[in-house]
Amino acid sequence: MDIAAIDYWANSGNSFLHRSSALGKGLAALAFVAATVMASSPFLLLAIYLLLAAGVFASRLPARRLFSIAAYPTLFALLFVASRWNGGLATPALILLKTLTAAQAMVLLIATTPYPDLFAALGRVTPGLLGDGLFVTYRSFFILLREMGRMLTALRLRGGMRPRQFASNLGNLSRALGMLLVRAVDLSEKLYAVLRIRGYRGRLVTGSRWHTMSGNDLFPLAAGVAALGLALLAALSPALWASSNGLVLVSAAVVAGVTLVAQKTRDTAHRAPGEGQDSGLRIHDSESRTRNRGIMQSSQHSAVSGRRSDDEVARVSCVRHVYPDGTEVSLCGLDFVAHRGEKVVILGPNGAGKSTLLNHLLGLLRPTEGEVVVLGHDPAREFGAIQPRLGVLLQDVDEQLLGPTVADDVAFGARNAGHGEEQSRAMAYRSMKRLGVLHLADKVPHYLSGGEKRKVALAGALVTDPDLLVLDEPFEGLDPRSRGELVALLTELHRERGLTIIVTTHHVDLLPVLADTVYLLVDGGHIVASGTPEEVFSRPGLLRESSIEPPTLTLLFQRLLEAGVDLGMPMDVEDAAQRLLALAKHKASA
Amino acid sequence: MSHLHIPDGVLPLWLVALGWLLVGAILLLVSRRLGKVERGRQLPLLGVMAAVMLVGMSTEIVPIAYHTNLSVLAGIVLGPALGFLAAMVVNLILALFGHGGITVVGLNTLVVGAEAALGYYLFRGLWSLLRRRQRSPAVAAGVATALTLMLSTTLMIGIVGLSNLDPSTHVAVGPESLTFRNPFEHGFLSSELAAVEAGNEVASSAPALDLPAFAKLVFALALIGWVLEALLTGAIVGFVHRVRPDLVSRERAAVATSVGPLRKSEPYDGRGGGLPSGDQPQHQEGRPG
Repeated sequence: MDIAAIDYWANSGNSFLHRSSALGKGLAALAFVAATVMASSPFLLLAIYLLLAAGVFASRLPARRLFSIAAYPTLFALLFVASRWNGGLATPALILLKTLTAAQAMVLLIATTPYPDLFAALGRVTPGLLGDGLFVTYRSFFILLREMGRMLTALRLRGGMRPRQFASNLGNLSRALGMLLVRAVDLSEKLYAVLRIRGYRGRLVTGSRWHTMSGNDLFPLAAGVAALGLALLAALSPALWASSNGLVLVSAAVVAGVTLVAQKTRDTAHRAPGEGQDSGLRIHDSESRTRNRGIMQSSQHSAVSGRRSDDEVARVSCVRHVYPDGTEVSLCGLDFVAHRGEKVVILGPNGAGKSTLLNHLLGLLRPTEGEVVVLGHDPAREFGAIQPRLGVLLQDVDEQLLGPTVADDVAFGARNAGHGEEQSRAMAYRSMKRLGVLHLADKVPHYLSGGEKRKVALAGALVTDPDLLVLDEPFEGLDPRSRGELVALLTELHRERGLTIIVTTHHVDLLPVLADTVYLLVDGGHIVASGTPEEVFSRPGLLRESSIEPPTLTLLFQRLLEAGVDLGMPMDVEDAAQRLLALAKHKASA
Repeated sequence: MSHLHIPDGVLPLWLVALGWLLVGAILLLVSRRLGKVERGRQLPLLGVMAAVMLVGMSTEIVPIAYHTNLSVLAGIVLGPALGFLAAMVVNLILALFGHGGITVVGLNTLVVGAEAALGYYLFRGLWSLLRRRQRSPAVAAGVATALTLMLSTTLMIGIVGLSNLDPSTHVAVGPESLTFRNPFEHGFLSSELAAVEAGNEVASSAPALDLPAFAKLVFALALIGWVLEALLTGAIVGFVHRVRPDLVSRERAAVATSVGPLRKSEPYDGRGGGLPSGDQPQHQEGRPG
């Protein structure tokens, strides 16, 4: 099955079939299938197939591949053929044509309809869990397929998948599938956490435009009705059908032929250098660069903008957690406290317990010992009370983006908070505009770049204007430009809204602009230090003990201090340059 | 090998309708059973396991181009109720891609859903029998898969056998619709097909289903599939039992069948087996200090 290719065609195509509604095409496809089921004449089936072929040409998608994908199931139908074969060709032709025609109708439908629209339509006629299950399955499929692809690539690179090594290949494939299963269950747990955090109330797919019909629906509906009409004609008036089937067949062939010629002519006329659907991305890239420059400047100017308050937003007091495998994380030492309007960074190497701390704050873990209070509540027991005031950005945003489109995803939290459809859309519009992702509103999230996905997830987290924003390793996998852009965005949001931000990271270079307060964790979850970035950087030995490499500037000025030149501890390059220039001028004047 | 993708239009409508009715009844039972559990808990597990089945179907074994089914594995992990739902989701998506007819999703779901449910019970039973052996989960899963596929393939053959009607004469409109005349009998389409039909041989010599021949053919081909699927499922379960034993454990079995321990709004245990922390007291109680 070529699910990934078909999904790409559905989202990237630009024919009138792509622009017609899921409802119109769905009804047309059902009409084609009904006609196919009713048909008992190979000529009728051939006529229906030719009408579908016209649709394939009209879709302007790779016709040969669409035909071959629909033809694949006929291999299975050969078994049915073999069981009924009497030496003639009529029955085999009938069975194979039925299989081919029905499959072609469905393949054409799914290759021209983005899955969110299709599943929104299906969700209306299936029980809730099934409807949502379809969506989660399809969404998870791409995540898991990518995982599987990575694992198989790694296997091949390491010689684990070779021709003529059947037993070895089978063993390696089972390991890969086993690992995939484990990761799938992990993914399901994260999805559960996301659903919970985002206030899932039992209906995932909403707000799609699947039912908005237009003039583009005319052709598929007319073709479907024509197919059904022919089938009814053949059933109800066999004599009339017998006298006209040749004409019908020729007409259908002419329709398919004309569509093919028209499509080829149109392709030739419209083919031009640079034509493609990534032009939007290029515009977006240039916009991003422009915005990035501005944001970087503003973020540098607002490096020390945090204002402390005595109001505690979150507190974790000597929490201990034992995982099912026996691993123990003890978040003791200093208490973790975040005050209202404060930017708090949790710094620590991999495995130090940053995620454990965060999961306690989010109520995803219940402490074995100790106390966790967030916004005045125990998050594990009273999560419902804090959820509307909480925004979360998970490390892997792929697991967080649940909406069929960006706009839907951003509005998800607002809908769950009980706002009406119109108000939710308005809130989503404001949030997308603020985050600079309004141009992505109708895109399917899993086709966005890593930076765009994070911004979309952030827009979704901020849509309800939360008091507390929690971000788990938000800079992982981002290039320096996107990282700087995200830091600047967070700083601006903090300045505008005064919300409390808690971030986990091991990017020490970002601390000066990102943190009012830093908590330093070592292996096992021990909180060994807290303070301003200046205070933490002034103790490079402690950073090294925590397996964190201090920033280069810190190392340089520490070295100068050890050599007897005390210039303090600069927080950024500009600050360091000023101090060094002052020293040089002093030396020159002396 | 039960994964045959029965296409649209080759089975009689009464059988297709019966398939939908049976599936509808089973879904009703499943819904009642699962209704006690928070949907936000079921949905992700259902979705990702159905996705794993689809990924398995998209991954071929080099060099024989066989793809896995993993329905028994889904049953082992999800339990019979959610496993049946996962089978339905997978069949719906497959039908959208032309793999199996959209009208026969009901019948196809009965076959694949039966694999998930039967596989689950057989695995549990066999594992209990082999409990003391080191490789017992892998062996139990392998044997359960082979047995389940054998039974589900028989079920599929039984369904086709029930049809025992020629699609060209009984599908929808009866034999009278076959009395058409080939308009190209002397023209460019005067092929063998046309010649046969022109003499109305279709109606007179419409072949009935040769069920024994069909069964022999399917069983012969299916044998390869059973062996491969059993080997793969056994190896996967063996691997998972080493890496994350909780996923195929008895405790999980209890969750999958009774669905009792899953309670609304309970936090999960992070790195554990997908169960709320309260469901695994053995890990919490044995803490030091």
